[in-house]
Amino acid sequence: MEKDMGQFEGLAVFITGAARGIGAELSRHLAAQGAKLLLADRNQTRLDQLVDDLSKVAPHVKGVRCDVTSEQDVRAAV
Amino acid sequence: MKSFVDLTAGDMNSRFSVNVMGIFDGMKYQLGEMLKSRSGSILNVSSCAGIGAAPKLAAYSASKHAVVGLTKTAAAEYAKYSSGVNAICPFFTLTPMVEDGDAGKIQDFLANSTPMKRLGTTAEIATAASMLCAPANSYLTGQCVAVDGGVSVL
Repeated sequence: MEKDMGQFEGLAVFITGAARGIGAELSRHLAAQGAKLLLADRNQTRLDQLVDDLSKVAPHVKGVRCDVTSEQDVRAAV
Repeated sequence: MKSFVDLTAGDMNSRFSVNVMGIFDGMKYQLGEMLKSRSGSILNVSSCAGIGAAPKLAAYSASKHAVVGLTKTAAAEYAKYSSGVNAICPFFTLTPMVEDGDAGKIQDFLANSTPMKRLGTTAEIATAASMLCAPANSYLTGQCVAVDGGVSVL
């Protein structure tokens, strides 16, 4: 992934369902544009993998395990 | 995929638990933070099935229509405190969920039903999503934008 400073430089972005599909692609896209990402997913393994990958090229990427069917999880993550 | 008459309350509850309540809770707490900071935006992921019919996908379609309702209502209620509450409505996209599911078996049929004669990629959906929630895009709110290779214009 090439770093492409964009409109999201320094902005905090929270993405649910981040570890797969559209969520993962959007995470890569915004990481490349300098966003500070908090990535949430219920699958800890896939989430850890994505955070590891993105952390190699983006300094501000964190993951939080979050099952969106749990209000408690969502509240804690936000 | 299930015919309407074969759907159970369990099917509906299961779909709504993730697609509606998950988004509702996320929006509720995010809007609370936006009220404090007087800034921020929300982008939800609905679906083409959220703005039209989706045969054999009634539970999914109803849940995605609900996402449109939540998006438009929050946009209207909190327009003063946000720089946009919007949604994207993708057609079937080349994701693991689609490729590994029932839709994967009719992928060629689905692709041929679009004016572009192909399904969108996750990169194309992510590009549209980031455009909609970009900070410079500050006068667009309450919109649910089809990202569908032209399906919705047919």
